Amino acid sequence: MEEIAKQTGLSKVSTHKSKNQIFELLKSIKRNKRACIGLVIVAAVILIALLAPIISPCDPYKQDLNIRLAEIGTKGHILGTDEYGRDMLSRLIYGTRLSLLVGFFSVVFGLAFGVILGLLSGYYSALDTLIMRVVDVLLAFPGVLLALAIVSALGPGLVNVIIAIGIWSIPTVARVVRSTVLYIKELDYVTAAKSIGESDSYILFKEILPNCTSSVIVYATMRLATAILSASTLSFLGLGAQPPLSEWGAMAATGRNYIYQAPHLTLLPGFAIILVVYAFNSLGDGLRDALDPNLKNAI
Amino acid sequence: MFNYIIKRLLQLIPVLFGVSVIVFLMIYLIPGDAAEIIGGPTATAEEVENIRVKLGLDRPMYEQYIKYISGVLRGELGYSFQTGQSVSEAIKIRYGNTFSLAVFSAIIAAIIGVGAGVIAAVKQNSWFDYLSMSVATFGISAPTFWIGLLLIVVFCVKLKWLPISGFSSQFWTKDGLTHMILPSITLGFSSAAMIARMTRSSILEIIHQDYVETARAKGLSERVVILKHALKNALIPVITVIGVNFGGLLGGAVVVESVFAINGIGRLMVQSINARDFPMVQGTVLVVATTFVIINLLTDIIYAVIDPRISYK
Repeated sequence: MEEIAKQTGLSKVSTHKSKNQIFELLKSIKRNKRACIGLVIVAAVILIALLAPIISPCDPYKQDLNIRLAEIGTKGHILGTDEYGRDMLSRLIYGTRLSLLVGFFSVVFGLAFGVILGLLSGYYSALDTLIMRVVDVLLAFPGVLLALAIVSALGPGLVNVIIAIGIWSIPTVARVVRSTVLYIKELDYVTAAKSIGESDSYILFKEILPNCTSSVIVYATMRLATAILSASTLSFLGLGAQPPLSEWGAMAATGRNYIYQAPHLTLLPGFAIILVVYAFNSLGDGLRDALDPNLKNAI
Repeated sequence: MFNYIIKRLLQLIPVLFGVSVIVFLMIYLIPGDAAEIIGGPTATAEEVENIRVKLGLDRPMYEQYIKYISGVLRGELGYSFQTGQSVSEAIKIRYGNTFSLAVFSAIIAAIIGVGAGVIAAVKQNSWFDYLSMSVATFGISAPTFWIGLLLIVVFCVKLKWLPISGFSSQFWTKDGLTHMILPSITLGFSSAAMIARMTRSSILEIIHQDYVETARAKGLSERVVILKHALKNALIPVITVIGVNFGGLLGGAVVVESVFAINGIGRLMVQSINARDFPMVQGTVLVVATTFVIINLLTDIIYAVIDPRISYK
């Protein structure tokens, strides 16, 4: 087995190899300027989210109607205050937590089902047509429409947004994984595993799945950007985070009512979304070039 | 070719069937008793029962679906819980606004995207290339609602050049045009960004191919080489992106219509979701998804017509 694995260049992931791969990956990202910027921003945002209670200058929910709609640069409130006098900087900092959480969990949800469906569809020809027709149907809903439809049934709220965006991610994950499986299952080492009588579940989860990891990681990173963008859109439409949660989309939505007096209430959350989405997209692009350049046309 | 079109049309049937099933099943996603939740906390037992009968929830699921789909095939999408208005009528009134917004946005996106992409490719590594690609990256990363609000702040609040809201599908009139500009740019922005990136990379791929070099060697001007030789082939994949994006614009219209208070299907959908007006939500989702599927089919057919290399099998 090992011999065949070596010959095909797709050996099982060993600890030593994983370390080596991570080192190679970091080296490759270092060479790509955009990916490097993306990685730094993502790391910074994760850090900000973790340290939110320490680095926030104020309590994001503490109201002070005496200083409502304070402009950017106001003493004690560097990014101003909102309609209830809450500190904008603190709310933006806490917003990173919600955005990252929604993005992360919805992608995990989508991956959990999408990967399994993709594996089954790519490996078992009998299931392929059925699963791919279902995927086609799910892809027949443009943009956030499917997520919108699901939230409309489940009701507004962040957990429902996670489920909705997760379900919306399933068909694309399934397609990406299926195309990788279709390629891998024809390789010699899989044929060898079959010929020595390994079970289908062993081949699927121990032989094929580890070699789908790169496409899944690349897709997940890019999908995080889409998930954060879509969650903010749903919140903007009043279907995601509900007040007083400091979610960026919801903040922009309430800020819209004060667009004449205090445009910063709307503009600042938007900048935060753009920064995070840009970072995940750039990192995803970099990871794709480093891990799986063939995916360039697939994603 | 004829066979290919027939085959693609036949493939449409299971997809549209699937879409109708998902839209129909939406009501079963409601956690708990759907009739009670739709009725709200103040609804009496009688009102809840009424909703149950109206939605057909008192009947077996397959019976309900047959009733639903036969209504859909006759163009009857039920009646609004909120206003009692026919869903088909409500959609019919607004469809023109949403469709013209999407068409106008697609035209703007195609013109800006292809134009910027061609110039960026021809002047590779110039300031224009860097600027346009940076704007394109920004366009892909920015939420649509935010682009709309930013344009409102700049052009309506600060410069006072354009009206904030109000919309007319008669965009050939001056008034219609001024109301159409900002929503269309907002909706078409990310699409333009994608088209620009696609056009640029597509032209860069082709620009160094032998037949383009031959055209140059013949002594043709760079303008003719690009416009007559390179662009023709480079635009083939771009047309697919334009087609796919046009369908996507229908999804984006939900957001843009809410930002600019446009009386279209998207805004109707959001209002209906907030009011838990399920027949209206189902109707709008079904119509938008069906339009999207048909546009994708047309894109595939156009793609096959203009690119003889496409296999019809």
